[in-house]
Order: sequence, then structure tokens, then C-alpha cells
Amino acid sequence: MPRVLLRFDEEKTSQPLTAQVILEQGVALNIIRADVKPAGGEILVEIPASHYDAVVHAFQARGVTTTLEKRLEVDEDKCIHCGACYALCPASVISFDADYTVVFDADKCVACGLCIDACPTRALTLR
Amino acid sequence: MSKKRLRTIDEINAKITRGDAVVLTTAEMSQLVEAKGVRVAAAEVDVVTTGTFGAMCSSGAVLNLGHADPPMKIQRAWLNDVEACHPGAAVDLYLGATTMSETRGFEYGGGHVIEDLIRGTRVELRATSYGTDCYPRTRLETTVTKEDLNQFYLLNFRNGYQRYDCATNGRDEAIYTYMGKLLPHYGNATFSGAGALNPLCNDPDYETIGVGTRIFLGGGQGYVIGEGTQHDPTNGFGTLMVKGDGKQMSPQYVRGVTFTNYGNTLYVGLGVPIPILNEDLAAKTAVRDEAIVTSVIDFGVPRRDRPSLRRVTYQELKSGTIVIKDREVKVSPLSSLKKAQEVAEALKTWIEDGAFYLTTPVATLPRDTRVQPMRQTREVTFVDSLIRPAVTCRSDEAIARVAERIITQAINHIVVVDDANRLEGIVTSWDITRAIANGLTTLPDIITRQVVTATPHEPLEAAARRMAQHNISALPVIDEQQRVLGIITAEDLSQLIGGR
Repeated sequence: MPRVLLRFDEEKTSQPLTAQVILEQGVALNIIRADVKPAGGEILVEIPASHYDAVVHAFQARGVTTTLEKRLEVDEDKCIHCGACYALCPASVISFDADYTVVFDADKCVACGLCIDACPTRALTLR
Repeated sequence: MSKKRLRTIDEINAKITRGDAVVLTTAEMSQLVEAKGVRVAAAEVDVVTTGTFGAMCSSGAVLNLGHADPPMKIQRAWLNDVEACHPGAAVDLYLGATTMSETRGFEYGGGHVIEDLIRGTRVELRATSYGTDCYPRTRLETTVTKEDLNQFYLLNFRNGYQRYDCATNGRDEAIYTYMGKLLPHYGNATFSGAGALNPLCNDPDYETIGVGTRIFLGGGQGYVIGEGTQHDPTNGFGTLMVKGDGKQMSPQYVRGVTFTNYGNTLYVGLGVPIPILNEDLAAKTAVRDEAIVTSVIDFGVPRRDRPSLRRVTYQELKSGTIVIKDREVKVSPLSSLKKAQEVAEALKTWIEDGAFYLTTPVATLPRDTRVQPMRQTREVTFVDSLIRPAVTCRSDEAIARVAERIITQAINHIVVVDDANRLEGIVTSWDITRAIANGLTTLPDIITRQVVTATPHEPLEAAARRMAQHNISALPVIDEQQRVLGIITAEDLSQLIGGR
């Protein structure tokens, strides 16, 4: 599902814009993280691909800035679980489970890209 | 621990035929020995399987292409634009795992070609020659799969390092090495090898692993054909030379890979069965990661003998974090510990299923050799041989006083330091001129704070290249704490090269 970072300015933070868009478009948006303060805020939402254009348009029409967020994708066929990426990640996305399978929690990814060129099998991409 | 023989390899093979050989992976053996003791484990267990899966650069493939018509004595040949060596007769090639593609650079190399062949993928073959009376052909273009090759052997002259260094980087920039991407200021570390799962760690005196030992190699059965190059048993860095039939192998255990800004290589899965012939071997195969020690090495120092920062065990390395210079940093394995375990499990299954028999080595591996450095007819000069004391100042000094020092000392560069002699910036005679021309009155206005520096242990040539790159004529020489050790100048460099 595409992720979009919504940025609100000071005057928009008092309005229930996200709720309005959800009701208007009749679509469930998954809020990944939200940081809304009186001076403005950011909300990272996942939008179903089928409603992507309409939802983005609805936010933009309300004066919200929208930016498509990149996120880590792992090609499981290519990954050999070497863990070369592990020590480079500043966001604790990458960990090992008990049998040393490398596990990715892409929801925590901050799209810094440090791991991408460290992967020997080129299994990692930001999309 | 007793070396009294409990069983022979022939007896173990007879049990394999009957399907009642007791086989454990080395991880299982450690648990059994801990729970029941060495004596019981030695009595119960016939074979312990080991495994490793990591970058093994000294790997390659021997290929026999068969003859073309008209026939050709190949002089140069390329597989998917990766050049192979042509070391023998007309159509034999050796394809090195680390050779880079001439068209795709780091992204594709000999290791990838080997993986593609193992996958059964069609590979483009291109060859050229000068033509002879018996081999008239001079050009050839075709495609081949592994099925088209008479022989396709993996022939690896150094695999399965007993243990390896842990790498970190003290420089102020990220570096890309054969040990992966290393962040500045010891920001991360990487290690290689599977620790207690590693074959040679389970038979550290090479009692059962020798020439002719049948092994798991790349998903097929292969053989140890001798000690590997740079075999260094004296220092606990033994290696193996191995070969195996590429046609039997699986991409699950052989992978072409890229180390960004370094090169290509091949990840190889290698497993060795250790027959438990006596209690001593039972104890050795119960080896634990905490007993395998290696060194944390600063790969930021581009010298043959890089400084060692501390000793570390594989248990600490596998925990994911280690302490370097009083700071906790993450440490990545470069070998796949998951796949190493899979190799040991697969080998165990083969033996249990009667698909793999143990062999008695026909010769042992050397136990007392060591690696020698290269004999060099001309020694390289390093920065520390050209260093001279730096003339320094503090950032709160008057420009006039600094200018005076430039004149009396007949120099062009003044290094700005703090109370602890740490580098703060640099001021040149040109900066002073600029200050006068532009009416700038205080030193902070003209200090260059982003200073290009040198370290004492880097080759002078590297430092000279950096000077040329940045179009500057001196580099302060600093240690890891940014303390100024001295300065090297273009004048001194040209005197050295031109002869005093």
C-alpha cells in the first residue's frame, strides 16, 4: 500500500481533516504515525492503491501537503540472511530471530537508504 | 581428554549403510555435551556436521567447453562479459569469482556467472584467438548452459577460514571494503565466519579433515584437496582448498554477490562431517562461540598490519553489539549464520539417509606453517616518514602575530589547535593576504575549518593524491582523536621525489 506523508500548517491542525477525507471518500486509511502539535503537524498514512488518487486529491484540496513516502522492500528470493544490512540501520528495522533469520520491520523504516548498497545480493530497495 | 579410539570411519560407514548412524549438528553436539558430558556424547554420537556460508573470494570454476568446428585455441574468453583466465589447452577456462564484468562493473562478476551456470541459465560465451595451423579459428560467439560443458567444477583455492577478523573503521568517512560498508568513527563493525559452526573450529588440530575428505560444497558433494592458500595454523587461521562438481550444486548454497565499491565475489556453502573417533574429538566438536576469539581491526588504516583495537569472542559478535572505544555499536555478520546452520542440517540429513559416506584422508593438512608477507624489492613510503612539526596557533590570536610566525618560520601553513592540541582549522599565507585585501581583522574570519588531513600510517602516495584532488599544498597529520601530530607539505613531497 502506498504511504503518504501529510503535512498540516498551524490553522489546519484544529480541523478534523483526516476524518473528513475518510468519511468523504469512504475508505479506511491506516495511520502509521502522527505528530500533530498546535504549530502544525505530520501524519503518515497508508492509502489503498484503489483510492490513492482520489484521497491524495481530497487532502490537497484541503490545503494539506502530500509526499509519497518510500519504504524498504525486501526480495525474499535474493536475501541470503547474511545480515550485512543489520549494523547500518539507525531505526532498528532489521533484527535476527532465534535461528538467525534476518527479519525486517519495514514499518519502522525511515528511508535513510544506508542499508541499500550494503546488500551483497541486492535484495533491498526503497520504493 | 582421551584419544583412545572408540570407532573407525569404516565402522561409521557401515552404520550409515544400516541407517543407524547417530549424526548431530555441532550446535546439537554442544547441547548434548553440556547436558550429559563428553564421555556419554562420545559414546552415543558417530558424526558431527559443521557448516559455513560466506564470501569466499578465492573461488572459481574450471570449465571445459568442448571443441568448436573449425577448432580454436582460445586466447581470451568472456562469459557474460566477464573475462575468464585461459590457463591450459585449447578450450579449458578458469573463471575467477571476483572478476568484474566489463560492461556491468560491480553489479555482475565471475561469482554471478557461476551462480547463473548452476541455475541452468544460458550464458553468452565470446572468445578470440590468433589462429594456428591446427586451431585456425580466431573468433567465436555462442551460448552455453552447464549441460553443454564437459566439466564444470568449482575449484576454490582458499575457503572455510577457521575464523576471521572483525572489521571497523576509525576514519572520519564511511569506507567500502571487502568486509562491507564501514561507517565513520567506529560507527559499526562487521565479522565473517560462522564461529562454532565453522568446520575447522570443530577440528582445530586437523585430525580428521585432510586431503580427500568428502564434504558438502555448494549443495553437492565435494572434496578437500589440500590446505588453502594463506593457511596459517600457527595463528589459528587454517583454510581449505576444495573442489566439487558444479553440475550437482544449487543456487541455494552458491551465490554471486557484490560488495559495493569493492568488487564481486561468491558466497559458498561448505560443510564438513567430523567423525567422533575418540572423546577428544567429542570435546572439540562441542566448541562454543565464547571460546573462539578474534580481533577487532581498524580497516580505516590502509596498511598490511592494521591496528587491533581489542579481542572479541564470536559469542559477543553474534549478540549483535560490541563495545569499541567505550561505545556500544552494532556488529553485522557477513556470513549467513542461518545458511551455515542449514548446511550443517543438510549434511546431517544426507548422512542419515545414506546419501553421504565419510572418507579417511590420504594426507593431513600442515599444522605448523604460517603466512609470510610479500617480499618487496621496493618499500612504500608512508606519511610518518615525511612528517614535520606543525607550526600552530590558537583561534583567538591576532592576525598580525600569525603573519609574523609565517615570516619568521618561512612556512605557508599554520595549524589552528585548541588547548588539547586538537585540530580546529588551518590558516595559510594566502588567507592572510586575503584578510589584508578584504580588511578582515580577526583570525576566525579567515580560518578554514573543513580541513583535509592525513594520518601517519597511510601511504604518502595516497596523501599526495588527496592534496592534488583538493588543490592544496599541505595536510595536517592527525591521530584518531584529531590531535595534531605534524604536517606534510607539497614542498617536502617534491624534494623527496626529486631527490634532495
